[in-house]
Amino acid sequence: MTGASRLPLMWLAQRIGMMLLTLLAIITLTFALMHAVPGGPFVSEKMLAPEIEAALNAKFGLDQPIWRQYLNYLGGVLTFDLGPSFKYPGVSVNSMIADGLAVTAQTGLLAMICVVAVGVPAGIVAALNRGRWPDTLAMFLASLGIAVPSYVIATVALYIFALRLGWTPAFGLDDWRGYILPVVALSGFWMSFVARLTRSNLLETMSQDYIMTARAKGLPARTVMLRHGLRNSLIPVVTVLGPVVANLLTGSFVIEQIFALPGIGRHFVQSITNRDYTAIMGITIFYAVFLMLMILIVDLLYLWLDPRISYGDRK
Amino acid sequence: MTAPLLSLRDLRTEYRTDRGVVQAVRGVELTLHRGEILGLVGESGSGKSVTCMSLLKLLKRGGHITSGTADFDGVDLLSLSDRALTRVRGDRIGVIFQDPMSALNPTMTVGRQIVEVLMQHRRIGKNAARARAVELFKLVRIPSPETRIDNYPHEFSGGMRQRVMIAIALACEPDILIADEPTTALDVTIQRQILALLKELRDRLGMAIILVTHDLGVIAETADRVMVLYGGQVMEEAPVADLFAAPQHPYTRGLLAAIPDPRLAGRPLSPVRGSPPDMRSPPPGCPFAPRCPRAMRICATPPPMYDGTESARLRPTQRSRCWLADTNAPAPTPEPAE
Amino acid sequence: MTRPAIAPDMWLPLDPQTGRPGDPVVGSASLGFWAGVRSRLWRHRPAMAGLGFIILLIVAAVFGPMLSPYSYFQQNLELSNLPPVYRPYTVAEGVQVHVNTSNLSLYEVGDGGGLTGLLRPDGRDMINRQTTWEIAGKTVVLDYGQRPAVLTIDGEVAQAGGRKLNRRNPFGTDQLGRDVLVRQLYGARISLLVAAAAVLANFVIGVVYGGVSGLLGGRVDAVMMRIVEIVATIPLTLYVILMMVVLQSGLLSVVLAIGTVYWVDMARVVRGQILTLKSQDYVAAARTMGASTSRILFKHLLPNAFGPILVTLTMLIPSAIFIESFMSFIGLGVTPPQASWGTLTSEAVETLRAYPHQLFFPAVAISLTMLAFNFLGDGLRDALDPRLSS
Ligand SMILES: Nc1ncnc2c1ncn2[C@@H]1O[C@H](COP(=O)(O)OP(=O)(O)OP(=O)(O)O)[C@@H](O)[C@H]1O
Ligand code: SF4
Ligand SMILES: [Mg+2]
Repeated sequence: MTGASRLPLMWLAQRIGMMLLTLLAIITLTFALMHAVPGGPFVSEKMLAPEIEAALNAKFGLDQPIWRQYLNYLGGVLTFDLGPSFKYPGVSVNSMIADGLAVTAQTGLLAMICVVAVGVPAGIVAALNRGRWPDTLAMFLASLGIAVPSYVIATVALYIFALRLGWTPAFGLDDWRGYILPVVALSGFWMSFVARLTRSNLLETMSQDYIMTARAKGLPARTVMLRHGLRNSLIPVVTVLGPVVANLLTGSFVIEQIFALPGIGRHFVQSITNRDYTAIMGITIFYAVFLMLMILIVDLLYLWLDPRISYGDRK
Repeated sequence: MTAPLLSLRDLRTEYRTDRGVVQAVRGVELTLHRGEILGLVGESGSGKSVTCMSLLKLLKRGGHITSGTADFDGVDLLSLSDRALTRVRGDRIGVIFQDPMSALNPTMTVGRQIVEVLMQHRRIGKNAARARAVELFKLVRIPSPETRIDNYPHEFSGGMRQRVMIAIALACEPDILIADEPTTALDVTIQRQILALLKELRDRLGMAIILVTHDLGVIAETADRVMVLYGGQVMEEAPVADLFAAPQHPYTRGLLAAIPDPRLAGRPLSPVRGSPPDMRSPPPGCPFAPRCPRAMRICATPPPMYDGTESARLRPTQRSRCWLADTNAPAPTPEPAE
Repeated sequence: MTRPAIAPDMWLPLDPQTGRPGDPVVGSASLGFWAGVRSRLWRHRPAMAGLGFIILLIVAAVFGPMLSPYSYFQQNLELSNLPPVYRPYTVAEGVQVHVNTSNLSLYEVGDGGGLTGLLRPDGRDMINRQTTWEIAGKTVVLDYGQRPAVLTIDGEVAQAGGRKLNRRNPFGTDQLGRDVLVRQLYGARISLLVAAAAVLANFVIGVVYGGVSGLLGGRVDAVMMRIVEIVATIPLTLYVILMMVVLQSGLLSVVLAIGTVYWVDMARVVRGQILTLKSQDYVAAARTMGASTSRILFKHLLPNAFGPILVTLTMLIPSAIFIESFMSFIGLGVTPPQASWGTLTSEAVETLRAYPHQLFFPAVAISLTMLAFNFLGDGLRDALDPRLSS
């Protein structure tokens, strides 16, 4: 059996079904929550700019019963139309997301790369040098990275590197240097987490029986480590990549605010302070869809990496 | 007899843990001849595995060999560097472990796991190695080897996995096969098949086997010679027939007494009352003294290894580390019934 | 081989009752499990340091604000943005002043070294960019035509003295002249309150949910775990944010939102524990003896599952503290004038250019607290897993 033929279509279908169900739950939940807000978008008596009120009315039919409004909204989501902004006349939630997507995607992707490209090697180096200074140093930094909140890393770094030393710009992404601090602050936690996880997994794997088998075969220590140890120890690391994406998303709320980056996260936080309810809903749902896709991708990756898993014969 | 294939002298191995130093092996001597199956028996913790693994310096973290020589074909294995040892491991000495479930890499096809060892030690292409792997699968009687070779370990049963392990260990036609409890994790019928296979392979390929087991039944059936280990030392050593017919050491007797007919027994050894010593602070004299029904005052002094050629209490081929083998010792009396 | 002669009496058998040479050492297996855990935890230095810090923090948070002469909301705009450490200028014998070069004000230095009052200028010359004071019979001029501003006393350029602690407000004051120390301690109260609420809520919800799911098993279990799966896909931060949008900002809402979110891990842990324990004999025995489900849950299962639950709870605390401060930082948490480490940090960011020191205290406080709880959690986990300690 090869990797490709192990792809169980049944499982995939079930998985996507589950995703849609989750999505439906999220949409319903956010709709219900927004409906519960006093002065929310689905209440007809309120003080709004007339054109916004008209746009909302046209979209959701504010005078119609609640279930109709819900269906209208659901219909909109299914056709990738998240409706008009609740605060800015003539602005749609879609355009808000489109506006911030590039910035958020760039920083997010860079942060993701950092997490893997720094976290994994750091964990490996620590494990290889178990108990010696590189291990101690790496694990000390990882402890800090896990404990110190991202917004603290961001503000302190902003002060030191941008304001005091002037090495990086304090805001904006006009220059490649502008990416450094946001990406480091964004990825700090998960970089540390992945480093620790990699280290402990590698140590755990290296104490497995099959490592002894590999050594008993006469393979050089390096081959044992790379071919038998590393691959197996990295499989569990892949599973955290799903949560990493989620965390980078929510982390971007504060990072984009601190560094004044015009990303979706900033729009989201602004929507919240502005009480732009339709934007809050829309962005939340956008996040949910995105996350669900990422988790699916991670699951497929896992399937490909670990031959023991066959989602096909799940009970 | 010709010169032994392997001759291990005064092996001492300890594990340094944060709860103290475990003296796992304390002066074990072992001689292995070509084509011979040597059984190692003893309770859990007696040092069987550590003895075997010390030969190839395959010790877990914290393990150190503090003394000893292992003459194998004119070289001392224990003084070889790790790098030089990689040329012995898997090539001239193969190893099979107890638990075939965990001894194979779960994310690699079994074929690759065999090909890997072949390509490590032989100048051989991938295709040739694969062909040889199929051949080895046939040798260890795995059905439809051509397709099974691309399977992952979890797609095999326990017995089949152990056959895969044997195929890996035999891939380079080693002089010595170390089988550390190769059948303990398997059920009885599979166990017999595997043992029969090992014996047959020995007859065909002529390698020597060190067979570690808990089970005297396995020894009786398979081994040519036996060494009984206890407390990190050899207690008694003899050809199988002699050991079963005339055990001298009280520990061996204890082991045998627990089994009415060794040929029928399949259960692990825990026959002697009391528990094995804590190897962080083993008894100063005979390690078995705290449990020995015949213990004497002298037993607080470490007994020497008596050789059958010098003690009338032993058969000529027998060796025993017990004061009772001394010709001055009180004559053996029937043991009190428990 | 020659052997030394052996005295005949050495061949005498040993009396089994008395001195057998060397007794079997039982080993440390007899040591109780919890005693082992405790001693391993005790030897885990970071965990102990963390625990020490946490205890200190709790004591300070509970009693600190009571002992402070200030309250967290009491403003004093005259004494705003004062530093914890400053370098005074001596105007005359026993008369010292502190210069704030950012807002160009002079402050009186009290007897103990505290910054006790704002000195009103006696003259302002906007054109030459100078402000003048008459202090102790001397003319003190602050010339802010140049940067940094220069202080002259009777025409002579004054030099600042050595560093001094601000004894009135040991951590300084904020933009509104509130005492930073008492606000810090108040922030600690909020963090600990949130932690306690989260722990309590999670313990109850998680244990009940996971317990019911694990004990009932079958279809109920499958459905309940599907729900957990769904909840687990939504990032908790997002969920808390939505809750906050609905509930409106405020401490109670934060506590409510966080308390009801983090039970998922706990439910999983408890369920997992129960599934393993369920297969064990004594639970089956209790069942056949007619014990009710809740009795089994509380009498038999919880004591056994205590270890993993404890670890989960300890690990949950830093997450809860973090999320509260995160929410407060982005303005969705506690409302002013209440002080949380998150709001303190975001307030400090506003004045980062002029008064960077204001970032120091909240940043250090939250970081140390998170570290302490993380260390304690790591230590507990290691101590509970004897496998790791070889
Ligand atoms: N990795 C290790 N760390 C510490 N002590 C060890 C380690 N491996 C073995 N020992 C100790 O060395 C001694 C001998 O162990 P060994 O594994 O050789 O026993 P064994 O005879 O093979 O027993 P079993 O039948 O259980 O396999 C024991 O006291 C054991 O506790
Ligand atoms: S030496 Fe003594 S204690 Fe040891 S086995 Fe012989 S009689 Fe028993
Ligand atoms: Mg063993």
